[in-house]
Amino acid sequence: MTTNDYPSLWGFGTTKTFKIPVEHLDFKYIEKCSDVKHLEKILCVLRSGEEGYYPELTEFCENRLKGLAPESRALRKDKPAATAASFTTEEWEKIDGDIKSWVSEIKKDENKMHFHETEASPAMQDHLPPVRGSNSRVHVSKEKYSNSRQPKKKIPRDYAEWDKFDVEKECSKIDEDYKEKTIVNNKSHLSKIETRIDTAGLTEKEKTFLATHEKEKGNEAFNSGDYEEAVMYYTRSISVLPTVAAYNNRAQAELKLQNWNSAFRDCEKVLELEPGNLKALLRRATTYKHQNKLQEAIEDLNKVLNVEPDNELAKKTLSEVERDLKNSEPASRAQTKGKRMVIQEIENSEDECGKDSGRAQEDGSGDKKAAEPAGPGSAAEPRAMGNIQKKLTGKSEGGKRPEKGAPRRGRAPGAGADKRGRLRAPAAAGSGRGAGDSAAAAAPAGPVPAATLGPADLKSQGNELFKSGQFAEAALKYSAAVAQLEPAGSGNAEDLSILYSNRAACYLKDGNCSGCIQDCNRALELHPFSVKPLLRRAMAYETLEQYQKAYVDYKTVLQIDCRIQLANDSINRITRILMNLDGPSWREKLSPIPAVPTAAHVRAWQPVAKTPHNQGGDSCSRPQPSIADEKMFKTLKEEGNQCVKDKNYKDALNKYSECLKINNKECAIYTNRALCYLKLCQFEEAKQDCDRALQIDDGNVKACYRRALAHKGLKDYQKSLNDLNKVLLLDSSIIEAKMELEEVTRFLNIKDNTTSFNKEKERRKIEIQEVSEGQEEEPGRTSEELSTDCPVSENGDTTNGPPEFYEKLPITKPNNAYEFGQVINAITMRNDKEACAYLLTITEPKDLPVLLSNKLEGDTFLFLIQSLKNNLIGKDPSLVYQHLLYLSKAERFKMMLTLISKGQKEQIEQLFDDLSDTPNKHFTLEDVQALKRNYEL
Amino acid sequence: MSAFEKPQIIAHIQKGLNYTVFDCKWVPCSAKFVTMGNFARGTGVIQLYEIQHGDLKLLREIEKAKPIKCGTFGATSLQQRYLATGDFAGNLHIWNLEAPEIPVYSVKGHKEIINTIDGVGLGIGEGAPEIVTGSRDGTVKVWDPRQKDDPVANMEPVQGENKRDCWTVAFGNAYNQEERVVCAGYDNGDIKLFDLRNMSLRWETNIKNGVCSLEFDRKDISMNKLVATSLEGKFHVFDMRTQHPTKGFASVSEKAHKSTVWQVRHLPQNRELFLTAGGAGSLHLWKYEYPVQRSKKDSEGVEMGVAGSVSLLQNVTLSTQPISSLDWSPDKRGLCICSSFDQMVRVLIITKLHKI
Repeated sequence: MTTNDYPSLWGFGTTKTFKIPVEHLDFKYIEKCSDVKHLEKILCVLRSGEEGYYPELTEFCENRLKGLAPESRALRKDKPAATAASFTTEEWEKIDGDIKSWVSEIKKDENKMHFHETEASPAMQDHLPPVRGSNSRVHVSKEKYSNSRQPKKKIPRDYAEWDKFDVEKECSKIDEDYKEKTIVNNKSHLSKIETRIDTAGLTEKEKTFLATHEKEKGNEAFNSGDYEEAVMYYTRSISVLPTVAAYNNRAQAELKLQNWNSAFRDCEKVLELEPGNLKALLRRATTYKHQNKLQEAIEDLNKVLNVEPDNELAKKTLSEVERDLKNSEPASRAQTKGKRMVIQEIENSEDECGKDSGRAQEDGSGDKKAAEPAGPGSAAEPRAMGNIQKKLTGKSEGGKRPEKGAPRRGRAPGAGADKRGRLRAPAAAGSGRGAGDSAAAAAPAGPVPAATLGPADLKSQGNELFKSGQFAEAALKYSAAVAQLEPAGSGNAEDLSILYSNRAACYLKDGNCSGCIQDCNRALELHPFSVKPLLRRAMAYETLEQYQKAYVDYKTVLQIDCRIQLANDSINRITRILMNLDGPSWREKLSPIPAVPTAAHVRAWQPVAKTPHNQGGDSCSRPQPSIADEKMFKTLKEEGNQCVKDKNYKDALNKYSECLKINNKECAIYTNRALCYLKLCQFEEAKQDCDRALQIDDGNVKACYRRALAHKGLKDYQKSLNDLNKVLLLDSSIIEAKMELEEVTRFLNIKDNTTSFNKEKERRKIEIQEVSEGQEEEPGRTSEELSTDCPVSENGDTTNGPPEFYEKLPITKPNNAYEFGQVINAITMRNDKEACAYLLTITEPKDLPVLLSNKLEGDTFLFLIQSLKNNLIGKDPSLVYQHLLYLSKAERFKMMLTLISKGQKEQIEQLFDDLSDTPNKHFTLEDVQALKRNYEL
Repeated sequence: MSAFEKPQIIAHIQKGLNYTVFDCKWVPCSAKFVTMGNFARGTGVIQLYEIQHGDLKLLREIEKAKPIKCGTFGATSLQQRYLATGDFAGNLHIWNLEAPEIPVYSVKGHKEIINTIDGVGLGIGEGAPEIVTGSRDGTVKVWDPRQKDDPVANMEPVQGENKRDCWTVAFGNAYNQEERVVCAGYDNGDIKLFDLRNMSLRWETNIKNGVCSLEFDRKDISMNKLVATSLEGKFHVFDMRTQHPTKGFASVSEKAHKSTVWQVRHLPQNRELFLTAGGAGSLHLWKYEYPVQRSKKDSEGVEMGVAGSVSLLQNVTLSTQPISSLDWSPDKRGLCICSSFDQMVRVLIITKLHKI
């Protein structure tokens, strides 16, 4: 017997409305029940209250239902509308403010519209289609099948007639299958949408409205997946009013339709209107990716990631692009091994393409010959560095790979640039050279007819081999080139140096460190202070564990260009190693670091376009400007540098500012401009530039140093001090910085004094003018000093005599310890013994201990002694004695005595001797002796 | 979607009126709206309000002989902004609100009350400015303000067939100068779609209960969706992109309100969102979601549409009386007015619509 069979036995029964067994209205049952429909019914019964009022059970049931089916209709409840109280204050202010600002805005717009009202209407009328059915002209074309309808048009018609018309239409289009028609219907409307909107006679407001409206339609179409329609509406929106958003959205829709070219154009348009638009960059990267322009894609993506490092989409795309690059790499490598000649051939043709399209291929082989010294070396660089240090990071990998991507892209430009195109190209070239090549393809890389090739060709072959990892063969090529060039003598020093440097890279790769060092030495002999051979030699030394030599080389490199990250890192590493090996005095064991001539410095500033490649891992993260911009940038910068040399700072300033418009990521420009500002005494601007430079490169010594100067110019000595300390921390060998440091410290003290002095004087209202005069001179002097600090300065002698610039200190009788302290400080600072003597004459000796209070220090003491000895002893020996007597009673006297050095003691002794020699009635010899004992002499 | 992410419906401003209000409409490009209705003394009234400092200011009150049932700014340019109204006597008038004494256009269009009116062209939608009216006399007529006295199209039942009360009309498909459709809903649940280009009845269906309100998601695109609300608290969303020769348009229906769904209005800035106004003074905000594939082939290889789904984003109850009309501001996303039979007009703000 079950409850189901005889529910009444238990006395429960069922509910009235849904006939649910009453025992289902139970916590346990509801907890277990997973039938949503049933639960809804239970909830309904519970809510109706027909079985009693159980608020907790109802709530429990609601929660259970919510867990199972959150969207259930039974859960919908009537709620009152929200009011201001439903929101937090800020939220409500936002909502309310939004509406209020809209209201006031729309009122303004409305008033404007009224103004136009009368004039525009007629134009609108002209563009309207005629009245339906009333203008026979339009109906002429339709009459073929609507003849019968024409006279009836104004007469009321019934549904049957409507249907009949349908039939007629069917008859007239008898060849058209109805089914087909409905299918076509889906897309057919697209062709009928006008892509342009006639905006004649529309006010600006209306145009904006229309453009936004069309764009919204586009957005909706896009969201529902009708990309073609979306493109159509975006186009319409653009036809009314071109906006960044519309172009950007159209680009996205085109991407969905895989119209890469159109999407690319739209992205370009956006970037033209709004440079640096992230979405557009991202979308352009996608078009690049699909057009197999992987290098450009990476550039764009890096730009995006620079601004938004967390952009997931950009990261994803970047990794995809990099994967694509890697995937395509083995294929090209295999080719290089197999048919070198063929590849060479293609490379030539690629040169033309590269030039024709005028693309930014500065690192690709397309420009190799033109770019000469930087090209091959820089291509080799990251690889070499990575290998040696076993620090091949993902980034440097990325930086290196694009270099390979670039030539590949060049090979089949315009032809969709897909793999197939690439593979076909060598084949075509091969057949052009004759049948012999098919054999060559299979054969191992045989020596090329080297004799017939010039050194330049040999070098480019070597570069190609190097890039494909054939280091030994590359070295052979370079050797051949060297052999050809060497007899030519010094005329080819530059080229030879590069060849040696390149060969050094090959040796380094092969682990032939001594060979590498030899080559580097040769390269450096031919062309001293070039970065690459130095770097390579440093790495070779490091590998050979000759750390001192490596350190020296790295240090030299940094002198030439302090931005080379690799060198900075290596320096740090080697410093640690050397400290472990040699202890704290490791520096003493170093051979002297050669001083780099300034010419090399300046040169190091110039190669902006090249340096990124020197920096290995950095190169890929740095957005690269287009080639035109880059050229512009370079010339501007060089002009700027020239202007600086010519001391034409204003022009230089303008040039650098232009540079920054093209590329605002270049540290050197900021530091250079800062220099100009410094020269022009525009310290605030100089400081800002240095700040920016330091934002880009935290460890930039120049920027730091110049900021110190700027701070000094702004009289912010404390900050100046900090910066100088930082400079010295970065590089303790900078003498200028040390000098500055001393000077600034002195200023800092003087300033403290003068300000307090000033205060004091103000209180007494005496001789304020004099003091302020002293202050006024400061800016002038600092700027003069500045010019001496700068490398290209002309007058260097003004620094030496700060005291000369001060008027005689106004000294009055100090009333308390504080005033005395101020005066004595000022006097010590100026080293003005006369003033001190004067001070001592006007001061009562017996007041001295009070005035000195506990501030007696070695310097002050000595100064007092000196002025007593030099200036007072002859005039008034008794005063000297009195002073000495009372000085010995000052607070910290004993302590101070223990601290003074021998030489200083001798000075005191001399004073006493002088004192003893001067006869006087105010004190006896014994008194002096006793006092002398007090002075522990 | 968490509670805070949900759009909230805020009753921003409420104002009691001294007449029965039937319809309210925003004046385009302004913070003004008009309310239309009838005074207890049996005359018609149009009031023009403006939002000022968080309150409503009555700018103008126009009294007319006959109670005014409905109005639209649909067939006028932004520069003119003439209001077209239909009244209890079956007159269609077009008013210049700046000079409302004499109508710009006037026609005795129907024998009985004009229940519903819609306009297209000039402002939104391509092609000629046209106004469609639906009346208790069972006819649906299309008017061009440039043509006096006679409609440019007239749709009425065959003689002898009983005339159904037309409760709602809507323009759609006006994506170029030629294409245009009118959809009409009747008290018996009939929905008829008239193609004005071909002058044909393109499609009809019956949703069993009286059709209170019809609206295309947009008038000025190739027909995309149509929402029809009914007397018994249900509404239907038709996907109008794919028409099957026999099955017509695919649809999804949802029971939303406990009583009549009086109005449906799509957000002008996002066609997938719409608001329905219920008989018990409730407002529901819905979102339509498309299916993965909007069309599929039936067994005979003929394309047929696939309906998506609707989800409720928010619902509130504003009053105990039915909400008779509803209008989104065409200029400000989330701003909305509604009138209800408790003689109230409310300005609503609906938040977070841009996030959906």
